[in-house]
Amino acid sequence: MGSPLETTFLRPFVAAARARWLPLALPLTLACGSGTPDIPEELLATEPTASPSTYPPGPYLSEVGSTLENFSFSGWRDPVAAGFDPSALEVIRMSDFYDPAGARGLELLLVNTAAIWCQACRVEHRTLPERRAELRARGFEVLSGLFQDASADPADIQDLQTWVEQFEIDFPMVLDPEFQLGKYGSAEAAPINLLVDVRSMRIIERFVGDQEAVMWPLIESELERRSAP
Amino acid sequence: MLGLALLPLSCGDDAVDGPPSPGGAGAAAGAAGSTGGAAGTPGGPECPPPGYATDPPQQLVASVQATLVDEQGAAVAEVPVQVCGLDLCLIDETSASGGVFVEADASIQQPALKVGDGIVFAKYALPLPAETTVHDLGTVPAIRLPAAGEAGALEAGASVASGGVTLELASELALFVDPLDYPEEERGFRAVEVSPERLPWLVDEALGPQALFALSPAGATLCPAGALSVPNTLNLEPGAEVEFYLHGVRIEEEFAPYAGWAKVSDGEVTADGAQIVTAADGGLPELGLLAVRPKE
Repeated sequence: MGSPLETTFLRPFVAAARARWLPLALPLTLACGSGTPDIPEELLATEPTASPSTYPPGPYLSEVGSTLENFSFSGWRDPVAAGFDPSALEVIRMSDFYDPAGARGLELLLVNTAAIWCQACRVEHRTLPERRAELRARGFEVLSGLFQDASADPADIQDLQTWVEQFEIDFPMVLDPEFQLGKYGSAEAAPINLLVDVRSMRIIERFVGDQEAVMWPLIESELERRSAP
Repeated sequence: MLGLALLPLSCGDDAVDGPPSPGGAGAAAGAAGSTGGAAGTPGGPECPPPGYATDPPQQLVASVQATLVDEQGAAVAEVPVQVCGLDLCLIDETSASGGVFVEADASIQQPALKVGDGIVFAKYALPLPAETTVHDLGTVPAIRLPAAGEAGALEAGASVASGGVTLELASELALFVDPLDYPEEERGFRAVEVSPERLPWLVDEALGPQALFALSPAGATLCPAGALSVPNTLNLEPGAEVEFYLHGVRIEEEFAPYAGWAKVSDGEVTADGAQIVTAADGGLPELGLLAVRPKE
């Protein structure tokens, strides 16, 4: 299951201020970013992003056609295979999907945002595992980031655990309490979907909302085009 | 006032008995999606939902404005509210004066203003009509639920009561309460009667007198359906026939159209005239906002 734990930190969660209890000593891999006041210290970034040499250089803008920033998160590459076990959380970076020469067998990455308060996100995630499974052999992958809980507070690991169990998520899913993916859309609107070309990590298209009638035909046609001789 | 018509559908029937509601919230019965709801457990009872899912066109929503108030008319501050449709949700928090202003500027399928978390306040969804893109709903109610400490546990074979409403659960009950909505300690049964005057967007007075009851955890599904008893606040005659309608707050639209209504059970007034109960072959398949009205 995925790569070994890298630069992880065993830190106790101080959850007294939150309604939910989190197990002590969760191995928490932390994302890069600024210190948002509402987010517990333990969830904030301490780790630098991957070396620029392993990832396309910036600038990392938010527009379609721009290169996706090499964010770093804590999550599971395959939550089902990991048994939804918080001790199996690991660092997941955008660079993990960068596949300039096709060595990883990837073509397209769908970067998705989800929040517990967002019912449209839930409905979307009910079918995402199946859709991803259908297209996986053609080089399609999904990375989803859970950013807020039911009250629009930053999501925590228990939220992520409940989510992946609920929908039996078997694709990479990460915690994004700082909402790093907010670079590409507002935290007040969800879901957001970015279709990314993993050869270059350029954003092919951005969808606000679960625009399945538009998005999936585009994914199909992009995969078709790439498999053409 | 939108004056949505109540959409009748007998529990377990495949056909809709009446026309879709004019606000677009009603719909012909369709295939129900897989939702993790109470379709039954392997080897257990089966409760296939009628399903109301449709694929309505997107409509432009520029902005939604409202003021959230409690039973006394006081502002309800710092409460999340949403403009949510089938494909996109936008969240906001009420201001200190209960104000809601969602600047959506988005095309959304079947948009509605969703109020309530199902824990402190009852959930409901006010449909946003397609005739306009700027929605000023005025004052909308926050319907306070009884405290969690007063809640009875929803368990197989149990009879739970709250706010004068009693729910009897089958011994072979398959219960689904969404853990994403309700932490373990918030999954008890709570109910409160709601004055129809507080929700004019959802109540068509032309359909005659009706009583509203908000039941939580809203969205919880029961298989088999639970037998429900509510106080006869409509003062109907003993033996009078009634219909129970469920208001849909879930975009999965299994047992009621989103932001609309569907009939879920017949019922009658008890012999002593004190209660209104669901029919033996009916019952409540999902908790939420209920309307009870005399059968025509």
